[in-house]
Amino acid sequence: MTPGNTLDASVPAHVPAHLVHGFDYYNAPELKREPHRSMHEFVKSRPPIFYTPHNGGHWVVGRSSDALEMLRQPENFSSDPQYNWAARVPRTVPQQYDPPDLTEYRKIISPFFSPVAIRAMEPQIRAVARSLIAAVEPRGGCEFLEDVAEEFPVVVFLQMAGAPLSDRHHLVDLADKAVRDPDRAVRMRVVLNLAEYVKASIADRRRNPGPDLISHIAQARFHDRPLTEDELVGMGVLLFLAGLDTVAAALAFSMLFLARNPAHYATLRRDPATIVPAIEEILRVHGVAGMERGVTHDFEYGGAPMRRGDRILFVPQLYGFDQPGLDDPFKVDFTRSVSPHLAFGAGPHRCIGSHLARTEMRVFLEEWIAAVPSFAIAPGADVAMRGGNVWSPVALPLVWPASGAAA
Amino acid sequence: MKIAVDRSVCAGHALCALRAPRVYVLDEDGYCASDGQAVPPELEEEAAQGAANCPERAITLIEEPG
Repeated sequence: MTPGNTLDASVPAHVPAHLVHGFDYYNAPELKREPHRSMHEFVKSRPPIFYTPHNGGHWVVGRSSDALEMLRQPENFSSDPQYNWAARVPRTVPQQYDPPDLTEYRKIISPFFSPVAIRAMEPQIRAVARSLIAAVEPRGGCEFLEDVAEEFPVVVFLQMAGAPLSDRHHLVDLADKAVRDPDRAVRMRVVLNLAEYVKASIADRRRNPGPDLISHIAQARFHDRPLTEDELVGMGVLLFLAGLDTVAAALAFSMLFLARNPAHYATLRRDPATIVPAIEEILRVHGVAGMERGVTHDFEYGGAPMRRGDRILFVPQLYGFDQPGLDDPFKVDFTRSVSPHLAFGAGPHRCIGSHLARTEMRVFLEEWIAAVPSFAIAPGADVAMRGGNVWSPVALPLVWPASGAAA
Repeated sequence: MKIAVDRSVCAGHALCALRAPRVYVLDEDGYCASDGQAVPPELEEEAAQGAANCPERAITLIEEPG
């Protein structure tokens, strides 16, 4: 993770002045309102790949076409922390590995995240969505992020992990601090607490193995050997954290858009089959997660002179606006035949949880349209956004006519 | 019409099958397994939509003469 709010690096000598443009991914004021539109406008008028001195100093890849090519070149743009000081503790598996190790680690977890596996989980995911909606619907309003969106992926993960539901509140609290606490030291400490939780879970599943994801990784082999304790913890922590604030943010952006655009919501209610293309269109304009790579050797790419150890920021949040052949990129049209985006990345690191995330979004929207005929942003609410690794509304107060409300 | 899939580029997004479920087949890990598959004329438009939504641009549709 990158610390925020600092213009703490001078520009290295190898970066020419015309490629230096300030882009504060964490704290730019533009991120607080319409981050996608304002940041797209910003990068559109800058060189395709430019360097910002903010947040320790890094390159920014502003164009989807460059990103697609670069994300397929792990030999040049690596996820290995040795090329990038933003290393995490514990080293996350497989996120912070390059092929071929990446490929081997992905094979271990792939059976739990494949489209077939996720389809089998759909009834459980639906039950979670229903119970969360049933809990808030009679109230006629909620703070959507805290009351629904942040709980949903945690509970789904607990089921995948075979963890007792009594761990729910502890984990929701840890998850919230690990990804949202403004203090980096707190985030790092909480990730270590989470690592302890993962270690204890693995020890437990070794004694009492089941069909769950934690039992599976506890018994997994990397080539011919069992995973080390560090690998297990790095994998468990990543599996837990990667789908939490990302899914919560994507759901919140979806609901914010639908609250502001009742005609689009009416379309989904009239024809629930539209939900699948609608999700792609919402992801295209409301991508949430960024990613980093480190440069492995000195070379020039796309007019940018790169040096070993330079950090590169990809901004998939913006890669749904500059796709070839796309008309009127800011128009959200659920009938588009193509909604091109890179919200789940590209290349060998493509988000392995993408099928789970899409299913969580679809099932949630299916259940929401069945329960809530219309809804709106609470009157007077000012919906602010936050930037950084995961863009999200900070809070989303919603209101609706509750079904059981007394006249 | 025939489907050509660059398996070295397919990253398992599975959007082909999500957008065109009657055309594209996935392997057990969710990667496109339709390389070389023929597309019946009535599904050509659906096949094109599935291909166009591939984020990796891994799918090409080849018109066959005759």
